[in-house]
Amino acid sequence: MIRPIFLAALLASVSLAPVLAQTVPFDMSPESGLIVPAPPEPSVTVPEMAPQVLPAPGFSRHLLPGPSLRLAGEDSRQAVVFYLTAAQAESAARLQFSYLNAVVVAPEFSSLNLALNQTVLGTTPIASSAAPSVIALDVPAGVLRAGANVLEIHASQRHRTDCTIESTYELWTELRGDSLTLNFADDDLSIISQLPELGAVGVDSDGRTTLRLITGDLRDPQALGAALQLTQQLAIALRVAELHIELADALSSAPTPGVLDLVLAPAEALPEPLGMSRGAAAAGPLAAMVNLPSGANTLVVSGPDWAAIGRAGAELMPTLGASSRPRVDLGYPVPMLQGGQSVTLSSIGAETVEFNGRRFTNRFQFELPADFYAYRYGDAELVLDAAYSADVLPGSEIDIYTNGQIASATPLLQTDGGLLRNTIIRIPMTNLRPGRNEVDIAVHLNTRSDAACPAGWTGQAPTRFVFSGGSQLRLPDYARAAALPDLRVLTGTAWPYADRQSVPIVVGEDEQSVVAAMMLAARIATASGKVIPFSPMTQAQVSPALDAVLVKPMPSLDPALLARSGLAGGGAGRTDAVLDRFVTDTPGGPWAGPAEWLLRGVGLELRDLRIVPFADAPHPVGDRALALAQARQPEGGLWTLLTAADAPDLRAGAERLIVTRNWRDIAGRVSTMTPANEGVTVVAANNPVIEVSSFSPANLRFVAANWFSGNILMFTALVASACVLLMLATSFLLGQRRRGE
Amino acid sequence: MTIALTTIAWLAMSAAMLVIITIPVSLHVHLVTATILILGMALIKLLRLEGNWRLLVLTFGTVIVLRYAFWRTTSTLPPVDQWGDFIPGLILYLAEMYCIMMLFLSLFVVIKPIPSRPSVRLDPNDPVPQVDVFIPSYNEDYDLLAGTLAAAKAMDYPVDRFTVWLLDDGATEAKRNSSDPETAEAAQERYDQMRQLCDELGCRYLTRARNEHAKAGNLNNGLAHSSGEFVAVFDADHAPARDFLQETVPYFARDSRLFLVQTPHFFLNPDPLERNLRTFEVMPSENEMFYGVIQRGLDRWNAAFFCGSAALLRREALEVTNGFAGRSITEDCESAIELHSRGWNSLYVDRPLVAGLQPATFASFIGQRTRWAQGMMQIMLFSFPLFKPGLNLAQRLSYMSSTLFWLFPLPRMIFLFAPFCYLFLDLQIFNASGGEFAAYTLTYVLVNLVIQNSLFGRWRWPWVSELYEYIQSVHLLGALLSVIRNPSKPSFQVTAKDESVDKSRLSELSRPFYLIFLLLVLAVGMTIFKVITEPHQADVTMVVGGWNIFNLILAGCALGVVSERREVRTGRRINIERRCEVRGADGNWVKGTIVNVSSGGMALRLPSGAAGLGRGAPTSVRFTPLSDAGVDELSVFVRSSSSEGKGTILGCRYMPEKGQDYRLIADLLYANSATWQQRQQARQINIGIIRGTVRFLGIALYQTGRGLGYLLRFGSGRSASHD
Repeated sequence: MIRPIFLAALLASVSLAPVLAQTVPFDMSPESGLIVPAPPEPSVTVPEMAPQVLPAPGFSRHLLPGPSLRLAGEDSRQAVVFYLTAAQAESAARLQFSYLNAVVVAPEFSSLNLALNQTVLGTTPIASSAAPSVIALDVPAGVLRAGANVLEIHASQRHRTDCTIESTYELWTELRGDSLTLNFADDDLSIISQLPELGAVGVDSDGRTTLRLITGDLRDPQALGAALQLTQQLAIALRVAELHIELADALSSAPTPGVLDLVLAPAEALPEPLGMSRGAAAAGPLAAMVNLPSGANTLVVSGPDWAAIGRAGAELMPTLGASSRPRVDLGYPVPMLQGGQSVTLSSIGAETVEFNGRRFTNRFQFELPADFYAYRYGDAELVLDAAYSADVLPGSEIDIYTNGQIASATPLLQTDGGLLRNTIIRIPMTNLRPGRNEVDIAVHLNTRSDAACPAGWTGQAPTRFVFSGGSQLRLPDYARAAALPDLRVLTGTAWPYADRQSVPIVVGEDEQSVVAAMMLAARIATASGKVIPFSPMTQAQVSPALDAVLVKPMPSLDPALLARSGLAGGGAGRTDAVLDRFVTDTPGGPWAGPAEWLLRGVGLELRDLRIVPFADAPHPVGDRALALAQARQPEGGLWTLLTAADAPDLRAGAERLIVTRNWRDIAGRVSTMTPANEGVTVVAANNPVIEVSSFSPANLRFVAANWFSGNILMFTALVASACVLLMLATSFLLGQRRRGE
Repeated sequence: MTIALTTIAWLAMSAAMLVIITIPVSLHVHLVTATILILGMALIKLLRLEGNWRLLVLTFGTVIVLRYAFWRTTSTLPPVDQWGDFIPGLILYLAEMYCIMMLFLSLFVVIKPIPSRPSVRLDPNDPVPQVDVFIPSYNEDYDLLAGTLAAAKAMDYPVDRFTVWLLDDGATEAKRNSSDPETAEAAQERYDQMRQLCDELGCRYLTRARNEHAKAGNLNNGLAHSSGEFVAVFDADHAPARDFLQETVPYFARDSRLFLVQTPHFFLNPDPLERNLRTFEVMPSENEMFYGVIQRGLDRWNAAFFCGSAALLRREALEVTNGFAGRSITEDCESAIELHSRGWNSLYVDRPLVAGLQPATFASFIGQRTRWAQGMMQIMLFSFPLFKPGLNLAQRLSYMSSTLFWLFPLPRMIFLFAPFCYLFLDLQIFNASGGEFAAYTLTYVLVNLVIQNSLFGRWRWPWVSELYEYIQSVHLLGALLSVIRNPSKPSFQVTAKDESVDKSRLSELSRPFYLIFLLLVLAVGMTIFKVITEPHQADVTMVVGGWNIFNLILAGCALGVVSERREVRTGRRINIERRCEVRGADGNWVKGTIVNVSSGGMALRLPSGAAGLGRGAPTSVRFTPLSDAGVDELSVFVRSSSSEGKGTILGCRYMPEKGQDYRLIADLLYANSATWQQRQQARQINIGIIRGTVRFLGIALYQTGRGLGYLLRFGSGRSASHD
């Protein structure tokens, strides 16, 4: 509560009108001695100033879906989405933020530009390296919309003195989540009265969104089923990536940013403040936002019994209007690209840019279906339209990263400048995955003039590179199949569970397990936009022939089920799974050394040349680690298990699991995370089962290409045996075709 | 029925193979698979496994080549809209695809060549058909013709059942009545001389009114004036062995639809490459690949074709096509394709039964090849073998292989100049990374070598084909283009084969070779320059530069080929062992042995002393000829004398005075075809890819130096002052 007040005080002294912001360089001098010299975290170092500041009136919305937003490099652009109620959209509002930047950023050549729904709100020189500067911008009337609003923040930064490519990595500007707010004059605007407006719940000052669940006994399978369904639906409706869920006993006493109360109970069990709804609930399924004196946003889902509540939940989904979903952290469109499709980059956020710096970067995203199975062969294509000036030297190159991994490096060859029109850059699909994919383009420009680097040149150099938004990303027809188990398919697309009529789920009987299960379900839903129809049951009831999910701490889990999931209990022995795997998977023999050396020369490993794959040994789970494991049952079902050593660890682990950075690292048949948050350890599946989506010859050919690319010697064996057969056929034919003599 | 089933099974297997090959697996998969298959091929070749193992080597190779072709087609072509890159890129691509197609065509032809047939003889009880022996001549000299006619007369066949005809186009009525008195006089003199020679040897002399339709017209004139059931054709410089008719005639009795028995051309002298590179004695000759394997392979598909000489043909068949075809300037192959398409059969006997001469100078070598290339192109254009009615599929493919082969100058020149596109012009005509290049192109080149070695290893050493193609391409390219522009323009040019090089000199056709060499050296300099100044693309530059260096090695070696070395001996010696008697200085006959003979003279070994014969002494040698020649005494004079142990070796030169004397010389030279075969087999050794490559590099290095040395000594017109 202290920080916003402090910032409001700063705002009072330095707020700028948008028009003014474009013309007057921002004053870098510290304001009235309030700031301790160069504090990296001013909000931590100066809290004692707060009491002197009067609270600002009205209601403010936090906008960043995370603790901070960092703009790095010479040209950086990020967009966030926030949802407004109709009432909020109609009100006058003022956007306010504070930022801090690296000291090497040259203010005279660097600027920060904010656009809301593609209307420029203001541009300011980046000149806040000593202390955070606060900027406030009035939002012109008519810019805000009910529903999704896109705030785009663009930083153009240049180094003060250095013209090298390396120096561009030192450029950054950071906006703190607690400082970026949209402020309204009217307190009442916080109230959400319509279900389709749920997205307006928004985030708190840390960028978190929390669902407080007030309900009865979730050991009742019907209650749990309804809760799982509702949490998934609400996660989608709230348009967040990470939905934190708490079980609460009582309703909130006051409105809190980023918090939604969900009351889920039969009519007679509704808590007292909701007494007036009992009647309606007893009459039939009820799902509605209720206005409470506390002002807290509260959703009531009720009915005469649990069956009716289930129906209420089912009917809720269409009214949430969540089908048009930019997620709050995905400011640019993320189209689904089927095989053979292409997309123009300007339509996914990469605009035409005239660039005079030395490292141009751009990011865009697209989605691939659950049965994308072309990550070992083939290339996607970037059809690039760009131009570079004669100043650019050979040795400059265009690097393309897919999901953070380098995929291609294309040198710019012509020495006299050039036009890259429809130049095709092949991008190996190696790191593409089902679900959302990120592509980064980085263009490194070595120039003659940068070598000299006269004073001020970092910003004054003429345009040397033009990137056209008309460039295209083109995907070839790719293999459609799923190799299961693969947690990446689940975390990216909810497949295959989302396609089932009913998915058995076994959840531990304690509250923590229930919360972990709901958070897992909600995270899958926010990643895929799909709701899995869970039906809770006990571990004795679950059939190995069906695709099922288990969320249970290990002590309460039937050891047989644990083994079926590909995990080994009692991680008392070895805890370092990586070391363990390294030891067991390294082939031995006297030739291993030289062979490895030879293969490394061509980018292979000895394990790529195995004929019989290693068995998927049960993977031991470390002491306090969280494990997500998926295994194909001999009977046909695909089981996914989320487990940990005990229930509190399970709950705590689930909190870490749903963080996007971790979530996107989950892969293989087992992914584990330690409490120390060292990232995700992945155990690859050695023997996945391939499920081919279409048996058309073309698809089978592509599937074969991908499979053989991972089973190299199998291809060699196939070719060799086909050769022998063809040789025999030829020999036989030649024998018969002997000239009669 | 079973053939149909087998064929269907084979087709199904091939289709499955194509499906497997075109699976777009990753680069690593190809690299590993290609490496393992190449290791397998190496193992099979190291263990010298034959039969089906050889087929397996070829199948492995085929797979890798096809995968290369698939990759090359789908991933490496420059984008169409960048036409500056695309057009040269496409040309290079088409050249490579031509090479791959030719590889598969020749693979088909020689997939299982017919083994050498056992020697045959006419059975004494068989009817003996009448044979006419045609020796067409245009301008060959008296000695050469006398030798050939004498050898023909000496053939082992009932004397009354064959007639030797000299078909002389050098003394036609038109020439004898030429308006140019000198020409007329020379023709008349030739006419009288040849008539007398024929009279002395018991041959028929025939000439005609005008020189129409060149060699084909001449032969057809012979057909019109003769009536034998079979016709043997020998070029004027191809002397038949004694057993020629015995080895060929019997086949016609076995197959009434047989129109041709072709035998190889065996040469006593080296071609210019062999002479200038001094490989004649050790390395298989160029033509041995054709006569040793390809004709045997064609024979399997009933597509062995007539090569203009050293063949026996059936008159009945020739009458079907009104004699020899004369539309193209390679009447031989054209006649064969016409008769094959009418359902006649051919047969090839893999045994040298004639000994001939081949062009001695580079210029006449190129002249001969120009005729072959243009003639084969004419056949391609006039009667495209793939769609020629009457041929079966195998024959179509065989003839496609035989004719399309002669397009080689196009790709060879394209490969020569392609690196310049990148090195000098900065064009990107082959889109591949260094890794892709290594995985696909290197394995392809390696496999190509292994396939060539498996098919032709005994008959053709590594890189020699490339060298022969290169030395011909420089001058043949224009000839090919001219025939494509105007298919009926080329006319028959008789190849001169009796020239000799008595002074070392540069060939008159050598200039372009030096220019190309210079360009390639400049490109090497450019490679180094680019590697230093553009380090970011050094890998591509090195790959292209390496290719350029290969071209440079080839071009350097070719400099040696066009630097004509002085020839010491006119005729190569053949070792024989024949008892004889020599008239000593005192007039008594002394017993001795003839140890070797050549077309100009012989060496004698006398067991005790020189019998008083010194240098320049005229004498006579007496021996019993194998066939009745009517004489047994030959005049010679002694050119050298050297002692060997107790005995003496006398080097003698023939002094033939009349036609019959040539019968004796021919009897010595051509009596035994078995020695020729031995000589061929002595150099038909597969030396393997590695040794062959090392050897080629050694030769190339030395010849580059020799070629540059000749340029300094004889270049810039200084050779003129020597002449």
